[in-house]
Amino acid sequence: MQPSRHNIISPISGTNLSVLVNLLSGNADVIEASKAEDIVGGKGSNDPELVEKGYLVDPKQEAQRFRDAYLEFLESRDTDEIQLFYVPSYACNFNCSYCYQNSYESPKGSDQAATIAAFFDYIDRSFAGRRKYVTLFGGEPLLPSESSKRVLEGLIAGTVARNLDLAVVTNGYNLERYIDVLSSGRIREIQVTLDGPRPVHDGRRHLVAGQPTFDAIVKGIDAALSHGLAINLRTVLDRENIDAYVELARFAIGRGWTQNSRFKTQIGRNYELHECQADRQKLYTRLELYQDMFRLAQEHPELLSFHRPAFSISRFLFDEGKLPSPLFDSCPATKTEWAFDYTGHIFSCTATVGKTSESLGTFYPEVRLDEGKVTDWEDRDVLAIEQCSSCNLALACGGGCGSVANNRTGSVNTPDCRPIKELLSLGVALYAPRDALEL
Amino acid sequence: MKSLIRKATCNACATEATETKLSTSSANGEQAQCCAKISKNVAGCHD
Repeated sequence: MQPSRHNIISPISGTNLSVLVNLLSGNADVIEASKAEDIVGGKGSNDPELVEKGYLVDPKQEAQRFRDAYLEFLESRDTDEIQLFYVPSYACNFNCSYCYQNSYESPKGSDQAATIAAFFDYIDRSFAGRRKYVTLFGGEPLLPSESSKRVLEGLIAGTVARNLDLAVVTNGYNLERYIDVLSSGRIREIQVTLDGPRPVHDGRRHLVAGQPTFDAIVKGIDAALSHGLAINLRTVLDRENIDAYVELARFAIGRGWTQNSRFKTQIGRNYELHECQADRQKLYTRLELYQDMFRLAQEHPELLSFHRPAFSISRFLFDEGKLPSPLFDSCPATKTEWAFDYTGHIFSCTATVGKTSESLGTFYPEVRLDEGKVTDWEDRDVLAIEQCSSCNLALACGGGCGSVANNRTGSVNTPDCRPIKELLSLGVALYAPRDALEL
Repeated sequence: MKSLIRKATCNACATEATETKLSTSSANGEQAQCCAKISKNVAGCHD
């Protein structure tokens, strides 16, 4: 017996214990740090518990288990739901300090009826028989214009006719005025962004001419929730607003949002996707962001009733009492995600949509797909990425974001590594019940 | 060594095991209700 290739051992922050995780066997244990070192060193090769839990394995049997799990993953993904983004414009009424779409071109009030019809024709043919839903994306899709309203009405009509859900990603400024139109659709959720309490948010996410936006967005969220529309509140974080996140949490709790089952939250990291930002000092690495979230959650536990950060697989482990399935591929592009824009172009995902150099083809006026480019994205997983094939973290990391990897190396099939061990170290320390850390 | 995985009992075959094991096992050749549970991928691309 040998140590599994997929053992992940991480010291639990603030303790003399370690967590041992194996996504292939589905086990996770708290162990003494010294025992963890023994396992890494191949000692204790006859320990029946380590064998039973798949931490010590026969390499041939493990290779077979890996193949079986991969086939199960592929089968599961083939029947998974697809998210189809539609971008009616890259125009926006905001001038956010970190926007990555500033240089994208926008149409001037064009009639998109033919483009939207072509979009639905395309998804009817290309994704027939697949579970799917549509997400309206931007730019800002809910501008106070007739053309924006017509686009929303067109997408609602198209999705309702096909029994598909529609999600909307908006800055939320005009959400209140769109409630009636939205209420006529099968709205899965509306993603709105607040970057902090009023002064912090308004300093980062203001109108083009600088006017504040916080109060209008809050009214929109209240209106949506009171009409039974689900809100997914996103906050984009960096060093500039991290400490204000607690105040935003208190605001949301005080407003009753967190008591509403149709309210949920997510965090986004402010990072350089395609272009450099002027003030790079405020940007976090992924680990730095979670280190500060850990600190905030320890100092202000009420934060966790507003948002429970994932810390890689940690939150899932403690919420569900089990590990997620092995993640052979964390990049949904062209597998369970596609993006389409008003120009008739097709893109792999929300990170690439609008970058003409990354177009994979067109759905309007003619249907054309660059199969070679699509295959590059489709093939991406931890088996295809050379660096992942020998990494013990691969089944928790999944190879990261294909677009980030492509921007950095020029190849989709390269890794965008995640700090899995470090995130586990923090996440287990934060979420483990006290008795789990008493051996 | 302390497991962080919650145990579950299959209500058809009374097997007690981790849910992950139950999901890949079968009771007397038939998938029981809890044995049919398949955990989903959740560690998505933005985490």
